[in-house]
Amino acid sequence: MTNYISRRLLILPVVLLGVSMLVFLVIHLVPGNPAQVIAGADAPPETVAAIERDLGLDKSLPEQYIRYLGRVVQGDLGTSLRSKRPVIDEVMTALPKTIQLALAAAVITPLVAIPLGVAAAAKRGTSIDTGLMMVSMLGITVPVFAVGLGLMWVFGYKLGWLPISGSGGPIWTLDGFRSMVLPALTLAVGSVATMARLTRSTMLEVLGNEFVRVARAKGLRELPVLLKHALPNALLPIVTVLGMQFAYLLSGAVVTETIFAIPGVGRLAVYAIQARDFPVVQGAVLIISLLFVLVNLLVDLLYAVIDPRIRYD
Amino acid sequence: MSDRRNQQNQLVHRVLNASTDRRTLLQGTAVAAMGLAAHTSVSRASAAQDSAGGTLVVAFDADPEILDPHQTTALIAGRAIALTNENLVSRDFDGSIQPGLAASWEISDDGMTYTFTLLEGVKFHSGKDFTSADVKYTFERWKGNESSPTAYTIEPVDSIEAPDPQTVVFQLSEPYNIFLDQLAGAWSVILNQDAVDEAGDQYGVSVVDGTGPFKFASWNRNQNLVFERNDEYTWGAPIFENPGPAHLAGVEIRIIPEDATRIAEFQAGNVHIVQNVPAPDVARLTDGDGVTIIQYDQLQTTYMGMNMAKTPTDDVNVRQAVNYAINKEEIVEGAYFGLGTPARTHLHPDTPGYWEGAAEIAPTFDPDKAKSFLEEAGWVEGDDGIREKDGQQLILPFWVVNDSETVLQAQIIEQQLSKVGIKVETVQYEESAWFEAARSGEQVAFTIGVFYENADNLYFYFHSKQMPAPNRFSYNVPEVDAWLEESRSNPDQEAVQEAYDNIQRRLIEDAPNAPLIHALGTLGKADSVEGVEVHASRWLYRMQDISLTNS
Repeated sequence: MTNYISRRLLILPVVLLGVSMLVFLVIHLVPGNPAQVIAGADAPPETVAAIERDLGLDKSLPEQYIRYLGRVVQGDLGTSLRSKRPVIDEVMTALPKTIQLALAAAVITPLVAIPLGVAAAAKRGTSIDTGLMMVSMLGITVPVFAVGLGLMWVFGYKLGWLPISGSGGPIWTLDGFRSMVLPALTLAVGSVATMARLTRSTMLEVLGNEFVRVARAKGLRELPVLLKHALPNALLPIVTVLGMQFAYLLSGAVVTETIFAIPGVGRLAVYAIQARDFPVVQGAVLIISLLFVLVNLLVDLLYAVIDPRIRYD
Repeated sequence: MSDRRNQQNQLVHRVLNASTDRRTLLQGTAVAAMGLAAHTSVSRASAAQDSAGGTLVVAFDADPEILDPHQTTALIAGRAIALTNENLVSRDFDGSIQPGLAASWEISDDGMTYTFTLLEGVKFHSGKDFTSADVKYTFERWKGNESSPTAYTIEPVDSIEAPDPQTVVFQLSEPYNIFLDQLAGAWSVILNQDAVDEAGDQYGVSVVDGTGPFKFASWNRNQNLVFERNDEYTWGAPIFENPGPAHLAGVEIRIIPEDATRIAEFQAGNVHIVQNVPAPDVARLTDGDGVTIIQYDQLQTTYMGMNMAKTPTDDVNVRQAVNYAINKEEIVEGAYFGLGTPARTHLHPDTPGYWEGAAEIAPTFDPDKAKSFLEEAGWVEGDDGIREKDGQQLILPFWVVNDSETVLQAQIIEQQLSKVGIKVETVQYEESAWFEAARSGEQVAFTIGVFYENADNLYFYFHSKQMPAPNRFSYNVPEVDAWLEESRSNPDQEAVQEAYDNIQRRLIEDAPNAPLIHALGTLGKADSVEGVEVHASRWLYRMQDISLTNS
């Protein structure tokens, strides 16, 4: 186990190196120049050139990359070209908001999706099943944008139960919790729908197994059959998807953060991309990748807990 | 252009000086009468107001990023800085230059020495006295920062002397008629030398100090900025009704990037002021709901530019044909939801320096005339309706930014020009990429909107030394260059006007661009906000006269 974890962690720097190189290349090859953005469209060429020199953008790409890498190794992600703040501060201010949002959505997802999926599987072929699956199809196809604005309009604007937008502080405070409800629901809709469908299909598969028939034959009532015998055996693929969904929630929060004006890392990255604020883009992507890898590792370890047959030796 | 574009963007060159026509803003009522009415309402409000004053909540769609006036060109940064820092001179609501931190000034006969007498008893938020040393320091810091995006705007400043605490002398290297305009601009605010020295890199990041009516209190990135009233403030510029401490206890700027969310917060009453209300919402919100949408005329022109160094737009006949083939009314309605007026000339007719004769000779919508220009130049109709000459089809690559208004506008132009046999091929760019592309020299036709406050806008866009950008037309006419230089340096205002007239006539003849629309600005305010008048900066400026009623 320890061996496995350390092996996985040893690969981490390689992954991050790859990510940093890719991001560096992509953002530098895309047309658009940060010096130009800072100078404004109408500045004379000399001003643009002076800003380029100041930011070190006049150096060759490999040289810029190696300098950048040299600093990153020492734990220095650089300074935002626009706000002049350390990138690490920018990302670390924004990250907790995104993590709270993603975690909230990741908690909501199985809580809602698994009961729905189990119910649909149990009532297979009935109108309950059809209805649930139609709703989940909607959840998958309706864009996050529409869901978010719809929820905002009803619960924020019309009914006034929850704040329309903004971030009211950490989620464990009342204001923070209230301001996180709508964004978390919005973010969760897609993953709830996906997971409910998955739960239904894996449950159906498991329910067809002999041991389920045996459980029923020995006179168990349907509920214990479903929850005690079938569900645990259906959990493995669900956890896999939950892990993937969490990573998706982390990176997919951009739209939700924009709609609800949450100053998270997704918005930070999008702004930085628009303004070609290279250090912020690189820093944000690096840290998100790091999280991504760690979450995946955690999910893999969770397998062993859920299914004792899985061992990492 | 969309909200954020307007704010962050390209048009930021002296955009902050950009002027608003108060007459139009006040919609037809006589200036004096309305000015009086506005002031009356302010006095009434302040009488009803207790000392608390309340916090005005303003929604911006992006974070100002940095509040160091020498390191940004973002319009929203300028708007935040205007609360905390002041200028030597102020631009009045009608665009004229009035005293600010300088009580008076003298300009030498050669137009090269400006001597300012400063107000006494002015203090920075930190408690330090404001003196001429701070003025000298501020401008030397700005000019000495070669990577400052705006330092070029004070290039003619040669030296600054502070002979006594109340006197500052600017020595210019050449006459610079727009110097006072520059001093009134958003980036020319006075900084506290001690605060800047002490804060170092942190100035404008976590430290802001100024003499303005509001003090910088806190800043949560991408979330909000909070400003508190400066209770010591008694030196408000004469352009304001209220010289003393602001009526408001504070101002909170909330960052809400999404249009729909911003409007929802505004309608729900959680936000008092929104800048740039999206056009579709203007019609919906105009009546009632406890909010008012102010539409104001701003000196703004959106035009289709043409590069005179590229085929086929090197041919003046093609450029003229484009000018006559475009129906601007359709653009105003179709792309801007009626929020603007068709533009016939590069300058808005209310711009100081506008040539009155322009209206007579500027192109109007006339497709037949467009066709005759093309015939004259030898472009004959081809099989598929596209004109041809020497085996070449008449195709205009048209480079535009990918925001909704600009794209709609491009589609309309595509249609209109196809009717006279010009094929427009629109290429959409993400904004930063457009900046780069449109100064490459490869651009043929392109579009951009510009804000300005006076006719010096012409120098900025049409002097040959401004190539490749903002002179993206490759407009290189020595005669026009000479007139433009005269407009900046000749102390004789009549001669300057004559030069401006000549330039505008010549521009209509040469047609380096086709003016499309003078867009209206919009500002949403809750009915509980009183004393609102849109300033020449297209904003509420220092907000000294604004108050909140309890409703």
